[in-house]
Amino acid sequence: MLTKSEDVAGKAVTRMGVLVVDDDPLQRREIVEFLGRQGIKVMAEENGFAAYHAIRRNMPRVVVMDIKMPGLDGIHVSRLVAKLENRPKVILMSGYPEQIYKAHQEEANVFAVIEKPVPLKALGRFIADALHSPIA
Amino acid sequence: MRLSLQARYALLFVVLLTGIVGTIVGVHLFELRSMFATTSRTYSEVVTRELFGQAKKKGEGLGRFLAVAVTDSIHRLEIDRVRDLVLAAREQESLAYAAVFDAEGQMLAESRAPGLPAAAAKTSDASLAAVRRGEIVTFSDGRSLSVLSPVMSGRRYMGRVEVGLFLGDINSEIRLLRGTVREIISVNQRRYVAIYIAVAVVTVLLGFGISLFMARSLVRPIHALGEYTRRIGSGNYDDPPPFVRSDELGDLALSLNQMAKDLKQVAQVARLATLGEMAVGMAHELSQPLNTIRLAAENTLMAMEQGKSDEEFERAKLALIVHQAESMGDLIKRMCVVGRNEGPQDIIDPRESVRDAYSLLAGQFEDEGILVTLDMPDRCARVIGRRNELAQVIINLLTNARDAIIETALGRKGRLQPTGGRIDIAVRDFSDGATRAGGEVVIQVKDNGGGIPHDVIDRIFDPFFTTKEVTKGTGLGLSISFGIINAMGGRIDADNFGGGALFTIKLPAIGDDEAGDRKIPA
Repeated sequence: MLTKSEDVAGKAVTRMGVLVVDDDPLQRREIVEFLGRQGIKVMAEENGFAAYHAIRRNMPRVVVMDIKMPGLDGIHVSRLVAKLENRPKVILMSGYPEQIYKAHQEEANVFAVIEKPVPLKALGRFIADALHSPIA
Repeated sequence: MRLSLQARYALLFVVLLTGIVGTIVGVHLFELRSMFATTSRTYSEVVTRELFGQAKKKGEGLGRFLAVAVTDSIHRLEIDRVRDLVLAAREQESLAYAAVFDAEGQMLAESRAPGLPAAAAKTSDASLAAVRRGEIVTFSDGRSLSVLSPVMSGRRYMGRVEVGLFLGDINSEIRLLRGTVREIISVNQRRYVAIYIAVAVVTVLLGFGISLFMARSLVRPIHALGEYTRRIGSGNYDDPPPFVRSDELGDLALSLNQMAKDLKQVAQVARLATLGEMAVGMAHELSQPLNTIRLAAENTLMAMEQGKSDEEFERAKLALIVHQAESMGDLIKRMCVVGRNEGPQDIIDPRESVRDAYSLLAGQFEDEGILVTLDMPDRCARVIGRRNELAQVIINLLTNARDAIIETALGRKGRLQPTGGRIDIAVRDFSDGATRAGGEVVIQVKDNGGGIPHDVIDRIFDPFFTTKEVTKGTGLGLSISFGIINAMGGRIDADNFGGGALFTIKLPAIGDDEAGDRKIPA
């Protein structure tokens, strides 16, 4: 249930998957839809615990994650991710300036922090960069 | 024993008055008594002297008369004649005795009242010598008065006449007189005592009345001021002072009025603080649908650019956008309702106010790790009030609950963690049967934020009472809430329940939810 992955199938699935994590189902669906249309293999989770579990199991190349979530928030998850081997690149999103500031301060090894509302084109570019950059 | 100010004032006055009047009356009575005693004594003396004087005069007159009468008879040595005169004088004047002596002191004649022993009076040599010189001598042994009168023929001493008067009559008369005097005095004294006591009683009663009146004239405006402060406390800041006076009480009334004006401003500030709370929640609530709209619109645009769009896809996206925009509009409308300044009291659905408050804050609270539940009946009686004010009360209670939960969590862990915080809002309709009138609508807000300390639970509705830091709260939220609920004819109570605070609002229900379906003027 919480670990339900949304596999946007039927497209040319790349090896390199993206995990979208957002507690707002509507926003999550829009991002998943958009990325799927770009031919990217997309998974989705709705909270931090499920996201971390999915990351360890599926090892996506990129994680797009909202910061403000009930329970484990995006910064907590990226701090955990930073300790993993072969870790994915993390792109954090938030609508709150203080959280963006905090994400920058944390040095949790995130690839980018994007301010909401997320411009999809920019998000697409960031994800493309992340997917094609060498593994850190 | 708890005495009212009025009773204490009156009692003090009466005790003081009784003391003063009692002292005056006591002193006067004492003086009166000694004055009566002196007067009585003096009067008795005067009377005694007068009576003695009369007796003496009578004795001297008789003596002189008898002396003249017997002069010739003595001269001619007519002893029988002398005896007749003595007897006649004694009997006619009811003397104790009468006697005539010659120059040598030899008794010539004597007559005594029956039963009187002889030689009733012992005549002293000094008296005899004085009589020889031609003087009249009087002396008394208490029971009788003796008068010695010389019998003179020219300058020659021929002998003496002695008459004795009974003093018994005079004595008894003196006693009688003294008795009369005493009686008059004592009657007068009693009258004076009675008058004094009457005056004292009347004075004290009058004083009691005056003091009661004065106390009331002092206490009544104090009562009025107390009533006034209660009205201010329940939010009627515009009420005029209960009276205008040029004394200290008038100053106090004016000060209270000024305080009410200041309070009104502070209440306005507190209202702004509530609006500030709402604004934060509002920004959060609006950002979610706004983000969705942005994403959906851009997604659609890009799909169209890529030629991957079709009509069904576009229709779904537009419907989503419309729906999100609608919920934003609804939220903004609620914000406007809650933030509205004034408005007449109306028949309102209490659920609307609760829904307003809930929708403005629940999302924000959930992001802070606090679960907010809302439990409302499908049908609910209407109440009298303002929708925005009731919503402000609920917002205030929710904000307090949130602050308590977060403070408890901080205290426990040192930093903010997922709190397990929970706030339950419940609306219950306890109105009567089908009409839904005459009962109550009860709104409860319950949290698990540790509850209200017992030592402050009685004071939390007092103006400016706060448990928060100086910068965090005005201390007016609950007192304003109290005023709002009061003005709606209801009541609000605070209690502790199961590890948290429980606030209960009871509002009088006014009628059927169908009949009361009136629109609130926007």
